[in-house]
Amino acid sequence: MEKRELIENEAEKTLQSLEGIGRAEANPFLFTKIAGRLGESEQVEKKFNFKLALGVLIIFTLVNISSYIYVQKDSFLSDYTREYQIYSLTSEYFSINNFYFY
Amino acid sequence: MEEKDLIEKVISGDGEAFRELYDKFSSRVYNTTLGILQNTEDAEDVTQEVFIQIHKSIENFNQDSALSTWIYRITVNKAFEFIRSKKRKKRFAIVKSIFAKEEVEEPTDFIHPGIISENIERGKILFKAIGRLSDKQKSAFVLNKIEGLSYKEICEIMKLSLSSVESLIFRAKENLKKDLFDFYTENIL
Repeated sequence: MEKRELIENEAEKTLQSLEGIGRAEANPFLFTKIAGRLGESEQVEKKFNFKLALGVLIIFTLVNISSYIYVQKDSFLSDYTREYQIYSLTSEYFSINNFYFY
Repeated sequence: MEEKDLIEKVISGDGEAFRELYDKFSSRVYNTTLGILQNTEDAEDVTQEVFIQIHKSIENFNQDSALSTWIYRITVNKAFEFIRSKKRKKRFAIVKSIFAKEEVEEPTDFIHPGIISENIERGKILFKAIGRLSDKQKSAFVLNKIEGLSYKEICEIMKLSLSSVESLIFRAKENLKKDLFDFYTENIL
């Protein structure tokens, strides 16, 4: 019984050892480290933003170029079609193998 | 400087204001992380993470609670995130050590710098026992006994009811008593 009381007393004393505990202070250079890391992350963010802007610019340019090519090709085709239509019309009127001889 | 002005200045990117905010809260953040993590280097790392997080997300702080409550909440979350990531790394290190035959480092005894010299030995034993508490019990106990916060403040930080916080601290004390009782039964007597 006495032994148990002694153990309980020791446990209680240990539990009370936090009474009057002082505040732990951080390393005085910690702020410099934080400021450095914040600066680094801002640089990384800037680099990322630059890469993002560059990527968007490249995609935009590629889309523009492909659209231009597509439009050009289309206009080429339509010219060709127009020429073909004119050719068909003229060949209908000036064909050698027509049945009308005047 | 008023808290509201300080927040606005930090949001606008004022370095001096951020320094002021750091000076005002760094000791609370560090002391809390040290109580939870029980390692000075880890506590410094987490303190850095906390202030970087504050810098990033202060514009999202809606001022429903006090700034200190919001900062304590970030601190407790970051400390437990750190513990979880360390546990993952430790598990990986154990697996790695099986194959590479490397020894895994055992944690050393932690002496809190705020403990008075006559209580150092008891403090070491107590902090070991605190380290074995569940995450919630540990947070509530550290905030109350080491940081000296009231139950009401802890309720706001942990977003729990008063009865839940009371119960957490009561159970933490009971677990510590049991742990210490077992320790003294085995080691001293």
